[in-house]
Amino acid sequence: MEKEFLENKLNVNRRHFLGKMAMGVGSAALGSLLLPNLLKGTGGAGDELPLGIKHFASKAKRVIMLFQNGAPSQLESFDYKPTLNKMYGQDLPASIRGDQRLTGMTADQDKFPLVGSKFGFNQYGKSGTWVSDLFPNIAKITDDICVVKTMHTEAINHDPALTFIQTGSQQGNRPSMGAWLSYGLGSENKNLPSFCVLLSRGRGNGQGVYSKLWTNGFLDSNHQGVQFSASEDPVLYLNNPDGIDMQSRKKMLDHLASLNEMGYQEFGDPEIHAKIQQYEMAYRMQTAVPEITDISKEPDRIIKMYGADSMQPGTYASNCLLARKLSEGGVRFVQLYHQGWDQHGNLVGEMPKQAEDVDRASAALITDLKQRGLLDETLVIWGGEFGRTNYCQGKLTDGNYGRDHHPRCYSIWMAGGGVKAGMSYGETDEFGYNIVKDPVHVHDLQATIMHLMGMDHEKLIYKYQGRRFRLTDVHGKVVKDIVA
Amino acid sequence: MEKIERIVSNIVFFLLCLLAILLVFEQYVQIPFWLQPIGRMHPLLLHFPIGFVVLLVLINLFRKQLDEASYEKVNKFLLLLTALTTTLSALMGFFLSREDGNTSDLMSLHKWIGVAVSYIMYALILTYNKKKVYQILLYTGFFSIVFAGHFGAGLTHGMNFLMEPILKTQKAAFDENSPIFTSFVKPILKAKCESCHNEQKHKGKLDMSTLEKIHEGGENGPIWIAGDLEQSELVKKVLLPLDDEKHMPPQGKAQLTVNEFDLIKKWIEKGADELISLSQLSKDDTLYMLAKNKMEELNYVEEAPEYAFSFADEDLIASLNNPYRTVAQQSPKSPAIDVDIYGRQAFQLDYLTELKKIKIQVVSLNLAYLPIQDDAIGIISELINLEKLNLNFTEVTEKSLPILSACTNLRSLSLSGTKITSDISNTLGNFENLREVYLWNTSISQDDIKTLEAGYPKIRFELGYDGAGEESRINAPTLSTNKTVISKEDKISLEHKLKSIDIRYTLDGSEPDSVSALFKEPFQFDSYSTLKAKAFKEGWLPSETRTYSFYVKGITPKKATLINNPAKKYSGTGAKTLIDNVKGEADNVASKSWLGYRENSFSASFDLGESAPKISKVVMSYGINIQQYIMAPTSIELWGGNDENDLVLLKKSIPEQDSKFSPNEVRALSIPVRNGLFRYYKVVAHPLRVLPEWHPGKGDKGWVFVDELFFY
Repeated sequence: MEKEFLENKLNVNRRHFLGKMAMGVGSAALGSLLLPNLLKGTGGAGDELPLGIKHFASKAKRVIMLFQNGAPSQLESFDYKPTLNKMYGQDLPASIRGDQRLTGMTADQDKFPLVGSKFGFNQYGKSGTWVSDLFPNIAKITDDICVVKTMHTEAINHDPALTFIQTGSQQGNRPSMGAWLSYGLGSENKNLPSFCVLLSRGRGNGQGVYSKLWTNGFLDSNHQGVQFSASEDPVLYLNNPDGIDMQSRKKMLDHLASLNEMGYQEFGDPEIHAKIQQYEMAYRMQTAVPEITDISKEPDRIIKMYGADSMQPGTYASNCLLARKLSEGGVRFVQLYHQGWDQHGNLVGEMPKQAEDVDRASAALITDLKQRGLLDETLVIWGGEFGRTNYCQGKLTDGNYGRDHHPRCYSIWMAGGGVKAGMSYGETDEFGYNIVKDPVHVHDLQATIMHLMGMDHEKLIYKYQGRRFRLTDVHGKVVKDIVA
Repeated sequence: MEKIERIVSNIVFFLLCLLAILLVFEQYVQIPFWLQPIGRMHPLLLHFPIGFVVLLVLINLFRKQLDEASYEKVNKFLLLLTALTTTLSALMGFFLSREDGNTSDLMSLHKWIGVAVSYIMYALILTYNKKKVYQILLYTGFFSIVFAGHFGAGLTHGMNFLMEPILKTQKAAFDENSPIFTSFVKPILKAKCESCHNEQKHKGKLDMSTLEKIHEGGENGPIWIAGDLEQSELVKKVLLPLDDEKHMPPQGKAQLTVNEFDLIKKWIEKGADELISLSQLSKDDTLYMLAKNKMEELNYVEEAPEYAFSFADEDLIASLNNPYRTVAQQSPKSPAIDVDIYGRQAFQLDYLTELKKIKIQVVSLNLAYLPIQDDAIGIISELINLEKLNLNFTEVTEKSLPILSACTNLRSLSLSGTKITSDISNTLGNFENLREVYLWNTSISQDDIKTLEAGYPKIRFELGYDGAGEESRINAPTLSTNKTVISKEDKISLEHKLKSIDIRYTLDGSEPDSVSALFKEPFQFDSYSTLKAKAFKEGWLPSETRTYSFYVKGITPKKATLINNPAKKYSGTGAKTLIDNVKGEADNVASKSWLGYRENSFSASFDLGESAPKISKVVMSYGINIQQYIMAPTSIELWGGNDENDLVLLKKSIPEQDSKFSPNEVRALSIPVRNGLFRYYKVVAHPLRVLPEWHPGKGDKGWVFVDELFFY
């Protein structure tokens, strides 16, 4: 942003230069010989690629991220480890644990009793992907998805891990992935925000989400994620006040824009332009949003597919349905958060409820995109911020257990958008504690998502406070094996 | 003629002097923007000198066939033209080269040969009468201009442009047996070192063009010692600080990346073996991993369809973008364009018609949900390279397909949610390249699909999910209010989001079924009531039962006093928590609506005032949250009397205790009072002292949570 301020200062200089110097064209010509770019307007930094266009051709145009906030256990979902059932109650061998840092919740435990999944596993689809019995509907779509079992992260607690996977940094205030993609690729449908956020809460032990996860950071604020509310009115304050019709609204906004433009001429603050654009977008959203969010016209079978909860605003199912509609309507990045996956205790009681909430709708979203011919251009990602330990947190009791945070390995799945379908990527050891083959770091995932969207993660750069920033910072490697 | 000759040769002389000066001060020259168009005309003008030189040579060859006088005249005139255009081209070329700042080897080759040609052409004028010298210079000039032209074309079209169709360069695919040095290490050295250390230029007396030369080393001896990083000159030089004079590559030149340097180091460490390949290393060897990464990077070829058509004008693309229409080139390297149009209400047919301006480039068009009818298809059919068309939920019919078949490249057609019928089978044959058709939510049935699939085996038909035969559970009805403490006047309704739903209910605590009372009118309650409701819909499983409890506002005591204090963490808002008509939620026991007791029993007294009304029953509501050790009290005592300090036990009730895990809920116990004509009442509830065997915290103490007391 300071670049724009600097440019404004230069603009003033140029005006003065042209206005005050009586020699007119001659001096301009002289000036242009001395400083060839003087009359050329903005000269951007040399290493930046043009915005609003892909760096290279790719299939994916949009992303839907089904974020499972709280970290669902990989051992009860996609990473089948029968050894843990055989070694039930035995202590985790020190050689496996290595020097892994533990959270304050289990660091003082003198025993780390291994515990396997209470829920059965089966292989599904042509790919023979292992899926636990908790996810019967996701099991039906295994041939459309790619399960990555070897995700790993650097953080060990929710907030830094969540911030890390969303923004590429454990500390806050860097732009979120959706903001980066909005910045790099622009909006497809300029009547809707290019980055939308939908929240829901499950019945399990939950962790909070906050707006820093969908921040624009140092990017212009029109790239910020727009949180849709869980009420009947997903975007608040969008309706005209009583007595104001669309026409007078437009007139008022046009006048306001010209006033703001005067302010911009004087101060050159790019936030003024962002504001003007946002007013205008809000005006167009007045017709675009009701078109998109009206689910009353959805056929009965769609409601059936997503589950009856999809009619209840604020549920995960209704957010999935809304995500499909937003994505279909050209929203670049739709980010869902489903809270309640933090099973430190009572995993056996809570995880089936959590799974029940998301299983049907997640699978329905894939099927729905597929039947519209949109799956190949929409990238869907399902997963959390880290994994869970293979040992029990607290005392292991008969029939119930809990699992602590585990950053070394966890499972996610991706579908559509140029991802190879029907495969499992990566392997963890028989304890489900360490990765033995094909690790995928959070930065690698981010690089891969950007790659699938046609962006080179090393070239989407924003210069801020004298330093060049990327979503993947100085890391990240595209996982080419999962790119179709 | 002589006059013209003098003028032209003087102009050429002047221009050549200018060129010489510019070349000498090349580094300091910046081309102002208004001169740039002249520089950019270089590719336009340069074809003249090439043609003229060829003509000069031809005339020279065939001069015997021409009469002397006309040969002299034509040749001289041609020579002047050649010299002038050559010099101008060279000058323009110089401008152009300064503008784009290209300093590659190819560039300098092109530049210097071009400059040489212009001087040769001037020399030709000067030596016109010395036939021998003229001949030699002419042919030198001819060959020079051929090479200058070739290198110049290499700059714009790429060096392998000419021979590409014949050589068809197979991208060097590396495998496990490729030697690491020649495949991965040498290319790095070539890119980062050889510009200064080559056959021609050996700075520091080092030539790195071949392996032998590398082994010979430079002024400091060999550049690496196998297996000894610390003694290897290359490693030392790279590790010096960037601003050190001896740092390599020198400051300002492209530096080695971390991965490149790691690869070189590991390879030296491993013995700098020129023949070692991936297959000779174990998979957890660092060198193996680094080289494998490099190999994958080199072998990776971006697979993108190639299009033969031209690029659309950038400004045209920009002008076609508006808030309702996105027009985007697939990538800077691909001329193909994707178009999406959004906004049903804002749609105008012009949005489609204007696309004719880019009708060659549009390969993907998304028109879903727009009011597109068959008459608009004519416009779409003009987009001759269209590959993907999304007409989901538009108003098109099968009549549009014959027109659309003009798009012979169409590969994917989405017609979900349209009025299309199975008649499409008659026209699908016209689409040669069609591979997928989306027909979900149309009148086309599974049986029709079978016929279509048989007729068009190359096409995949997607019929999607139809929900038939799947039993899905409907969700439970909801309540019009979220109040649980109500007045007798409040009207309470049951609601459901889905259409054509039956909501059935009971008020006697029994489970509602398909013959229970059907909800029609809102309820009114005059005492504590439990409503159980369930939704029914054809084709769905009935919903789960929802249970709602209503507490009717009773007689509010004048004052409530806590005799025993609750746990600090669960102290609500003190005694008034019990009589504020706000119920707590069983899932949220930390809220201010609850009082929690563990170490001691719940005990509170209530003052109904001097002229206390007659009380017929007292209702106490308490929470159950087994996970949090919150259980039903073991017993609840009701005391009464008119003297605050002398109360008698009116009744002792034993609430039902859970014998297994049960969901969180708020329960109520109703205590009937006979002759309840007292001013003071006291309620005591004892927490469970020992949690039962089946509980995860067996043996531990239980909690009692109370949120409200009602007096009727």
